Amino acid sequence: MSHQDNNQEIREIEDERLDEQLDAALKNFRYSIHAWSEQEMVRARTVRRAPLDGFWRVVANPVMGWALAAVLVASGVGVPVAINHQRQVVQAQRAAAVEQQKMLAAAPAELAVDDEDLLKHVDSDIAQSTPDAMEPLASMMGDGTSK
Amino acid sequence: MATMTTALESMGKQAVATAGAADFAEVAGLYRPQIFRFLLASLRDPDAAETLTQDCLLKAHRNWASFRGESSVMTWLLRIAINLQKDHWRSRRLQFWKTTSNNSVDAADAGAWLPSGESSPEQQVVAKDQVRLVWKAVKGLSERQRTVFMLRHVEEMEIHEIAGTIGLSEGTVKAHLSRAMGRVRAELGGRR
Repeated sequence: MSHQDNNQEIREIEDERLDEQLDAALKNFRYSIHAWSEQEMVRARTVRRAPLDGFWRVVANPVMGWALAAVLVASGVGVPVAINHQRQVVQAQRAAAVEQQKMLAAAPAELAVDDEDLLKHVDSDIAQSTPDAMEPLASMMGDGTSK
Repeated sequence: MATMTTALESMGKQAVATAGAADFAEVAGLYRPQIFRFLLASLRDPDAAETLTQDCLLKAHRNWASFRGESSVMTWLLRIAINLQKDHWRSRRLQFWKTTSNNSVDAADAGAWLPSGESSPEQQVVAKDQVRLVWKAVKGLSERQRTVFMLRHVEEMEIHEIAGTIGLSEGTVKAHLSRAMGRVRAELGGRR
């Protein structure tokens, strides 16, 4: 028998040994799970209450359910109405502010025109009317100039 | 064990034959241990396995009228259990902050369970070590590889039955199983 054949034979024996080992391991694994499962099946368990259980129990109460439904409906209708109203108020305030700004922008021009008119009026008044005490002097000046 | 599975399966087939009239409670009592065992092996969490077993039977009960017997009852129940298990993993991934709900047993502890047979203490030690190594390999498997491995080596199902249960082709099941076995073999110290 050659050296190569020997090696081949050794490898085959080794493979067989590993396969047997694998089969045994898998069998033990299966037995282990079966034993564990059987033990767990008969073990008494305490049932833990989920944290939200209490909440759902309260909601399941008809009175509380109706109250919650009413709150939901009220908030469902009330909130959009309030938002709409708020929006309208803000729009009205903005429009008023714009109007006021327009009025303020137009006011200085009008004031300037009024001032000029007033000054002209005052000038003409001063020019035309002479105090009584100065009347003779004024007439003399008028005569002198005419002459 | 294979004999027991075959017996259960034959009883399941009888149940299928009289599906309309069969009492669901009887079917649930018959298959509950097997579903629980599969879920326990997959999740390593006895509480979660118990909850999902209840969910599985509840779901099966609701759909019992629509079960047409195209597959065996066991295959049908396991399919429901696998879907529930997938949902469980998905929700666990989403609720990663919920550390308190994680009751899964460590792989080393899970390997401590062995039936008190007639073997010697030395053999028991060797067996425990082997089981621990298989658990270690199983822990590193993908969800699908683990499911295929458990169905094949814990529930002793045939390849075509596994394919029917998971809804994969036989070739894909064989590929998953081969990869899983490679890992187990490597963990036990052999070649892949």
